[in-house]
Amino acid sequence: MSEQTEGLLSRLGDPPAGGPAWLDGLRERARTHLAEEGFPGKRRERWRFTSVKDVVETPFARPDAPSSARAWVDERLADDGAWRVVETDGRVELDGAPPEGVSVRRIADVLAEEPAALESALGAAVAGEEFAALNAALFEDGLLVDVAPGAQLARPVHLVHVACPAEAPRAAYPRLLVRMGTGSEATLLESFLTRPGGDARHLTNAVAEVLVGANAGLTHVRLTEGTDDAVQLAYLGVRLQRDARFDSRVVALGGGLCRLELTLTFDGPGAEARLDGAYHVDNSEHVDHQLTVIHRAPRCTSRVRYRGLLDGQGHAVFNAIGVVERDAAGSSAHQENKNLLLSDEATVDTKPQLEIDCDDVTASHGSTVGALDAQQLFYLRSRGVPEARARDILTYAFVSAVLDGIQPEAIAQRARTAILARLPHGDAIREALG
Amino acid sequence: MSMLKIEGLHVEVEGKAILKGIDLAIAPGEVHAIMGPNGSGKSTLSHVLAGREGYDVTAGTVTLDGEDLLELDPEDRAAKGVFLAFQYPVEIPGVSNVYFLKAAVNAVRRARGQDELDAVAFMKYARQKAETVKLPKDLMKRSVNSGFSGGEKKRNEIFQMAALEPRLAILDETDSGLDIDALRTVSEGVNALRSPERSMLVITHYQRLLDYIVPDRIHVLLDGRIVKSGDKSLAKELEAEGYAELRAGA
Ligand SMILES: Nc1ncnc2c1ncn2[C@@H]1O[C@H](COP(=O)(O)OP(=O)(O)OP(=O)(O)O)[C@@H](O)[C@H]1O
Ligand SMILES: [Mg+2]
Repeated sequence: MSEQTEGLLSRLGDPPAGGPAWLDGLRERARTHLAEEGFPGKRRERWRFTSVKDVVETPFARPDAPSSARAWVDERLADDGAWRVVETDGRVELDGAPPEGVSVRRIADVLAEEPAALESALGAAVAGEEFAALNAALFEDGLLVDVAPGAQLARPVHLVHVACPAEAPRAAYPRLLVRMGTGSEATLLESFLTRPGGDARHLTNAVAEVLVGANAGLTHVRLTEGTDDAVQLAYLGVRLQRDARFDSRVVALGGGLCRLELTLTFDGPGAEARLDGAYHVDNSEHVDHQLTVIHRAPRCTSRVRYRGLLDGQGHAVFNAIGVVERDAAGSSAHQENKNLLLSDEATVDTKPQLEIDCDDVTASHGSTVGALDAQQLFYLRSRGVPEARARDILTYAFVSAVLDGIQPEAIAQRARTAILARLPHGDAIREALG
Repeated sequence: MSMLKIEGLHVEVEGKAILKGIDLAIAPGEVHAIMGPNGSGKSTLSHVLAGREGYDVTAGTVTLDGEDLLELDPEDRAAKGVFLAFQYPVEIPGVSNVYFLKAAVNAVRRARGQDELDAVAFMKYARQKAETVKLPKDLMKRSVNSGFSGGEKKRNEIFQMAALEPRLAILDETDSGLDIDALRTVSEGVNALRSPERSMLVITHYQRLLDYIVPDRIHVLLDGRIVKSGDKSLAKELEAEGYAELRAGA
């Protein structure tokens, strides 16, 4: 504790002031939790392969009003047809009108204007534990996205999180709450980028909560372009009502430490979740995905498919738990994790598992660490593509397959460009395919 | 002179003899058909010609235009003009069909000493080829064969064949899974590719296909051997009588 008080926990002494009473209560519970439990160590199963010791000991300061990253983002990212919101170290800027059918507001504004509106929603999908508690204690702003019942958004919403490292360690605590009204449809993109600045470490401690109403559908693409000094400890909580659909594509491209805990709960019957992901580690990068899928209601379908590409001395962790509760008859729960090793020194710890408390279930889980598919390789070579190039293309395909079917195409294209920028022979692959 | 010449070809898979002495010669411009019951070795022959791993050639030779084919890597065979339309086309999620084909066409063009096509020129070329097999536009953009129906996959194989302009095209059950309209379009696409410089080996179970793509010769493959060869009328005979008599004779 004494070391920790020098680091992250010392921030807890100065919580954001001036919020509603219920929020003070939430923050207080989070602080108490952290004060009593501290941060998780390797003895905790879900943290066995990811050390946060030096993160916890780093005295991350809250950034004082960083300069807006909006211009930097617009210069860096071509127009992808989405309505863009930029968040600079947790501070949101709204520019122009969102697509019809969605209301997008700064959480700071909502808390100031009608605080009761968020009382039952904040913390509904992500429990205030561990680093989610840190966010609960310290977040000041974020985004509230309300999609109106029956609305079909004509354009995706793109939330760009920009981390701004400085000369001293900085942390940002972004918060996102998405509520999909009954029968609505939308596509939401979240990008995590780092604006080059100082050399000190940077922590992004993000919490996103997604509440999908009956018969509503959300496509969520989440892309992280990591850097060596960037630490991401993020939480994504999703709750699905009757017949809701959640289509998630996670792309995690490296970073010094990049961890996502995704927890999805089926609250109503007949809902569907597709949880696809791809990650790439190189050098000494560390990427960790922890998924929990809870089948609480009958006849829901979950399909987890994550793929990892491991290079250099990179380390990837993948852990998924599919829980099928007693009343969840007719559930279908599948989990698959495939990894491709490009280097002998890279490692992966993978463990998809199921906890089934119900008889009437179709379920499967499995993970592989292997080489490229021999049939695919022969197919490409039989079309004249030389072996080395065919291997490059299949390596790229292994990761980029996670984007298949994403509309509009410009969005998938941006993520593909980010993938190619990291891969060995990425230029040659782009040249061959482009 | 023959374009493709197979002599005394014996092939084993994991120690099991599959092809037991195949002799076959196809002259330039000719179309030969191979028929035969399930498991007789038709796909094995097509794989060995295309250079797939896992097959032991224990005896015999295969030459294309006089050059030893068996020593070449699959990509070099493709550059020399061998094309195999797969019985079971492979799905490659993550790579769009048209970009995949661009990589293939340019690899082959480079190997043949031709200039590569840039993105604009290639798109024009691909659209024109897609027209010949009436390949729906959205299949060009989607990932290679990924989630395609059986018929769409076969159509896609012939689209690739049209774009790669092979010397020797091997079609392994390209008709299976096609409805009658698709069969007609695909056959028309194949027929449009018939030329004095191009030979074809068409593997099928059905006379129906050979009504559209009329072969110069038909061979019956049974238990790894060609047990009978004849002209196009042989297909009708087989359809009427089946393989029983040939089996008894073998
Ligand atoms: N990898 C393999 N390992 C073991 N046996 C194999 C392998 N590949 C093919 N065989 C066997 O070789 C024989 C010939 O198979 P092949 O696929 O060439 O038949 P086919 O004539 O194409 O049949 P079909 O009409 O069903 O397509 C079969 O008995 C098959 O089981
Ligand atoms: Mg076969």
